[in-house]
Amino acid sequence: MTTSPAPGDTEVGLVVDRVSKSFGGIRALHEVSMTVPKGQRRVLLGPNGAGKSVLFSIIGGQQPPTGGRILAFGRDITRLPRRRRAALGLARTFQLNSLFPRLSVEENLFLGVQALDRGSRSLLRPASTHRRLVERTDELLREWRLDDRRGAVVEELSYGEQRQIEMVLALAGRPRLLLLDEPTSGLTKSETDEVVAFLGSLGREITVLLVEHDMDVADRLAEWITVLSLGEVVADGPPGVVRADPRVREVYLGVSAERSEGRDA
Amino acid sequence: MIGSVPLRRAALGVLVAAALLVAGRAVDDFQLRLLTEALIFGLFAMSLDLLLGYTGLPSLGHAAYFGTAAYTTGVIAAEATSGFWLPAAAGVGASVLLALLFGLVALRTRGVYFLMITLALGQLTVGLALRNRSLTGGADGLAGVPRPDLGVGWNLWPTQNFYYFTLAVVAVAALVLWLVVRSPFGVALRGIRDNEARMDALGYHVWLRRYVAFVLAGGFAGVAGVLFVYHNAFVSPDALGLATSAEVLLMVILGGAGTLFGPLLGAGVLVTLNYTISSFAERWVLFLGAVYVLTVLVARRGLWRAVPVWARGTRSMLAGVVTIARARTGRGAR
Repeated sequence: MTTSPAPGDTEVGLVVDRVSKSFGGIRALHEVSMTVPKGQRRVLLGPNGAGKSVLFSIIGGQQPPTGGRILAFGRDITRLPRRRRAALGLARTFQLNSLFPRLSVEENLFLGVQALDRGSRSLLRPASTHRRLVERTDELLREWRLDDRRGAVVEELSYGEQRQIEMVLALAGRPRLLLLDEPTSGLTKSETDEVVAFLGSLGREITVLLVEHDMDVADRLAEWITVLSLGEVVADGPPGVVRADPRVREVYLGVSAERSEGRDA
Repeated sequence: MIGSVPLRRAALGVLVAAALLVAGRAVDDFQLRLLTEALIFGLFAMSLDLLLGYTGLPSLGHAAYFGTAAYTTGVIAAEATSGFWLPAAAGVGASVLLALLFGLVALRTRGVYFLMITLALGQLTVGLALRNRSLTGGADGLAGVPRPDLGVGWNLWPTQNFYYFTLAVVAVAALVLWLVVRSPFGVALRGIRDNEARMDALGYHVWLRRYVAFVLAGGFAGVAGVLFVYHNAFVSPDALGLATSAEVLLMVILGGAGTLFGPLLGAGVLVTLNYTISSFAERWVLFLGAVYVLTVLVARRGLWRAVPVWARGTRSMLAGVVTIARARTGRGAR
């Protein structure tokens, strides 16, 4: 296990420091620690029920931890309101698409773009006249080849397209720390390839923490893997090392092989 | 483009505005009073649409802000001054203050609970109006509110003049509301309506935006309330209560929640129906119920959205008939 660096270390993107979480008597996380250097692509791996999503919502601020601290860019954010975390540069996606179903693709992205912009406080000027916001929205539409879908209502898009917008929405505000909760779940092989290629093309100014339970996807993306099982870190290291770790084979691959049928349930 | 207006929609708006302008000279006094009332309730309904249709907050106590402004303006106009600006500003100010206060309580809840708490808060204002007889006239209501003197030499006592005055105020208020729903703030409100959790994760101060929307809605309901008391020369606790709140809610749903101008249409239909039916039948509420059921069955998303769909449906049906007829005659010719 890596040692925790001192708070305020500027080379560190995210520190999870002995975080625990219990629901009533059930222990979901037990003293989980990990340190993600700036710019790293870190994959959080583990079978269903390992506590990945709980850890994710603790980092995102959707739930408070029972114990421990979270630091982002050297700052303690354990009790920080979610919108302040977003202002610090933290953005996340959700395991189940969390979009604005009745709004158009363009409006969805616009909401992501203006979230951290002062322009979003504007009350009497039509949105279409806010040039900076409109240009950034157009840029995202072009980049993601959503141009011809801009007017489409999101609830009428295919699942794959919605999954894509889920990620674009998180990127719209130019985050520094990107939390992706199973971005490829439910996608076809070629869609998955696109996501993997895209994540590879992201600039190094963005630190990425990714939850995945598919070992293959994890392998292609990860520079470093942290494996969770039953709420505890069982392995933490480069992909090759983690793959070879007998404990990982036991807790992860064993379960994975057993469940390979209903993996995406 | 975000917030851009289809040309056809804009043309329709111009047409309606022109019709309303001409109506002031073309119809009789009774109809003009009806139209004035429809405009006032239209503004009231649009203010509620900001909450219901755009922010996703179903209020069943929106009459509280309408009636509070009506009472405040009415009391000052009846007791203190014949001027317009002081009573009007006091009326709108009172409903804004009330919304600032009630918003703190109501916005702790969502959905059905929001409905219940706004209902309770609304009935609270009814209680206050009944209790303070010396000021409000209690259950008898406050009568004898004179038409205001604008101080610009425009006499508002004639029905026609008051109609144009109402039209001007409602037009300006509608324009402001339209700008609000087209603004980044308006887009954010719809985002909150669709998915509060994601808005929150994106970094929006969700509560604050809801609160601003709540207070704005209260304020615009107040503007409608001021017009109402001058129009009617009278206000009773009914204007604050559940029946009025439910009626305006129906106007929004009938016209189309989330369309802004739909509720104006809904108000027009309901006000007209009310007068027409009341003239030959006593059970207006019964008809109101029927209208509600019909709306839910036939035009769940409101008249504003249904009309283009019906138009398209009729057109494609006609086109189908024409195609069949052509095919028949074509075959016949061969």
